[in-house]
Parts: sequence; structure tokens; C-alpha cells
Amino acid sequence: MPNASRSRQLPFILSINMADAATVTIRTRKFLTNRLLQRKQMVVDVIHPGRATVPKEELREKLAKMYKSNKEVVSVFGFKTHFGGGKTTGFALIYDSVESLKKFEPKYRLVRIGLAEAPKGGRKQRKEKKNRAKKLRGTKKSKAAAGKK
Amino acid sequence: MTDSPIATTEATENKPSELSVLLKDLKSKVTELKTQLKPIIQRYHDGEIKTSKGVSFLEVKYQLMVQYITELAFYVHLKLSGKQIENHPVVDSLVELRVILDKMKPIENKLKYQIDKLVRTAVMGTQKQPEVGDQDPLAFKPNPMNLLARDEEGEEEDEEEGDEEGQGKSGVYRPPKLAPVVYDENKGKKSKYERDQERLRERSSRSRVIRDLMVDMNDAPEEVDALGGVNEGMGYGERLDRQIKEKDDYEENNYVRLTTTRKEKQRMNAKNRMRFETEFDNLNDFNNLVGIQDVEREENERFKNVLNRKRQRTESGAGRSKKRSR
Repeated sequence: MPNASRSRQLPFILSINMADAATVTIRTRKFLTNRLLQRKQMVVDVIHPGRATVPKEELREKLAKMYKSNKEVVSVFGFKTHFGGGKTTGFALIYDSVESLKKFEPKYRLVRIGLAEAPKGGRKQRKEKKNRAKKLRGTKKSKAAAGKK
Repeated sequence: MTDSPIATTEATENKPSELSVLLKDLKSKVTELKTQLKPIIQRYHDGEIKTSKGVSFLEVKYQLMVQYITELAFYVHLKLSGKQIENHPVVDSLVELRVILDKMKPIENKLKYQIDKLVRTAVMGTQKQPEVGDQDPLAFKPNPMNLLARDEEGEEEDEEEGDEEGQGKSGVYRPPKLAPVVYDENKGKKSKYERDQERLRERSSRSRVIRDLMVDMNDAPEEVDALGGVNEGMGYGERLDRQIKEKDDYEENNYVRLTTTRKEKQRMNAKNRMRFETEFDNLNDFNNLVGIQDVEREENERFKNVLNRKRQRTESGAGRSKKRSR
């Protein structure tokens, strides 16, 4: 019985390896160095025939290697695969440092990377909290927020 | 056979004479140069000419050129005397000087305007430029020193007026009188005709006939994108294709992803996608072309002036028949 389970697992692992072995080509277009926001921004074309859309983490690593920076300052988003598969287009921002990344990136992308935490509580809770805070002024707001927690 | 040696000897006889003339010229010029240089060198040794501040750009250029010419002369002398030229330090220094002179060229281009102006003022003497408003639009270069002077004057004015009126400035705003600029009344206004023309031109640039012509005549290689952009858009027909392409460009330039609205989705599903455009799709292409408007107007003019033409014909017709009868 254990042998049978093992044999069933093996082809699964093999297929993963084969998928990884397929080449992924990354091309960047419309490259622009944005000194005001301390970053380089570009449109990324990923060509991945015979493979599903490349995950963002892998793309971050590959882009960091291409542009000789480390993975922590690369932020990718907006990836859409063309009809029929094989080609994906998205955007990438490579910051000068982690500080500038934390300063300029929107919250949700920081949460995706793992550098920030999403606000807890559902949408309804957040809105109710905001409406309660509207009735107060100044430091009482922060006190109320701390009290509620 | 016998002629050619005579001819060559004549030529060689002529050449030494020319050469001797040139050599005499050279000698005289060298002596002249010596007489002129001696006092300058004397002055330098006495310490009249100061070189402590370094050498200016133009001086460097002169020095380099003089050195280049002397080295060239030496090079020619070497060649004449038949000595080996390879691996001679002269060649290296010649190349070096040449490179430096070439690198100085772009800097000189940037200084060209100032140098020209200085030379012009030097040549023309100290003629004062006529009133600012007249010629020479280049006389209006930005001058930050003007701002400083005005600030100081403003402060003085404030103090004076403060004593007199007890207020900061006078109530009336007087705009500062800077260099006068041409006032264009009709800058924003465009006549109806011009607006129409512009609209027609835009429309015609979109027509397939003109676009194919442009692609034909353009030197750039043809670009054909089989897949199109991320938003599925190819073969929907001209208008939708253009909108989809615009959407793609907007997304790429602004680093956002737009959602397809319900209407867009309906439009895409409704117009069943055509992969290949049939011949009958663009029959109205010529409607977009600009020239037609003019042709229409011309034809209408003909009809408008029919009465005048008839009158003209009757007047000149008599004359014409007379000619024919002859």
C-alpha cells in the first residue's frame, strides 16, 4: 500500500520539475528612472510558453538579478496574461532602498510583499470605527482607538 | 620616349624654383616671427604678463594648435629626409594633440554664441545697442542679477513710502516693465474653417487608405503585432480596435489596470469578432479624406458663379466670334 501511494506521488513531482525547466524570458519596456520617487519603473513582458503564469515572487527574484539589486526593493503588480497563454504583461518598480519603498508604495502592495500588516477587522468594523472617531477631536481619537482595542 | 625625359627635367627644373621661392618666404616669416616674439618673451621674464590664474580655454586652443603645426612641420621634414617614421614619438604626440583638439570642439560650440558676441562688439567698437525692443531676440536672455537689483530697490521704496504714508506699498499695482513681448490677439481663437479642417485632417489620418500610404512611404520597418495588447483587441473593426489600443497605451503609461465596464463587455460580445476584415467593411473610407471637402466647395463655387460667367461669355463672345471669322 505505501508503495502504491509513493508511485502515485512521483509523477506529480516530476511534472513540477518539468514545468520549472521551461524557459521564462523577461523583457522590459518603457524603462524610466523616476528620481522624484526614487525608483525605476518599467513595463515587464514575461514569455512563458507551456507554463502557467509566473508567480510574483519568482518574478521579483528574476528582476532583482537583472537589475543588480536585491529582491526586497522590487515591487511587481498588474500582471495580465494574453489570450491563449504564453505571454504576460505587468509593471515593476525597483526602488533605491527599502526606506523609499516603504515611503512610496501603497499599503496593499506592502502587505503583499510582507512589509506591512493589513488592518484587522472586516470592512464593516473599520467603517464603524471611523464613524465613531468622527465624533471626537484630537488626541481623544487615538485614545478611543486604543481603548476599543 | 625622348620627349618625356625632357618634359620631366623641365618639370623638375620648375619645381626647385617654386620650392626655393617657398623656402625664402618661410625664412622671411620665421625672422618676422622672431622679432615679434622677443619682446613678449622679455615681458614674460620681467613678470608683466601673469600666468598665475591658469590658462583660459581659448589660450589652450592656441597653444595646442601652434604645437600641432610645429609637430606637423617636423613630421614633414622627417618624411622628406627619408627617415623612419614608425614608432617615432612625434606621431604619438600628433595623435594626442588631434584628439584633444577634437574634444575641445563641442565645448567651443557651446561657447560659440558668447565668443561671437564678444568678437562682434570688439569689431564694431563700443556702439551701444539700440532700444531693447528692436532687434536681436537673443538679447533677452535670463538675467538673475536683474532680480537682485529690483529687490534692493523695492526695499528702499518701501522705506521711503513707509515714512510718507505709513503703509507698505502704494495701493495701485503696477506690473514690472520687462522686455516687451509680441502680443498675439488671436492666439486661442481659431476660425470655424480652421477647426473644420483640423477635424477632417484628423479623421483622414485614421482612414485605411492614408494609413497604408503612410506605411508604404515610411522608411521604418513595418510592425505587425499578432496578439495585440493585453486587453483582447484585434479584428473588432476600426473603432473598437482603436479604443482598445488607446486603453492599452493608457494602462502602460500610467501603471494602472483598468476594468472593463459593463458596456464595453457588451460591445465586445455583441460585435462578433472578425478575424479578417472583409472588403466591404471599409467602403466608406473615402468619406474620411480631406480633399473631398475642397472638391465639393470648388464645384459649388462653379455653380454659384454661373450667372457671372454667362454675362462674361456674352460680353467676350462677340469678340471671340470676330476672331474666328478672321
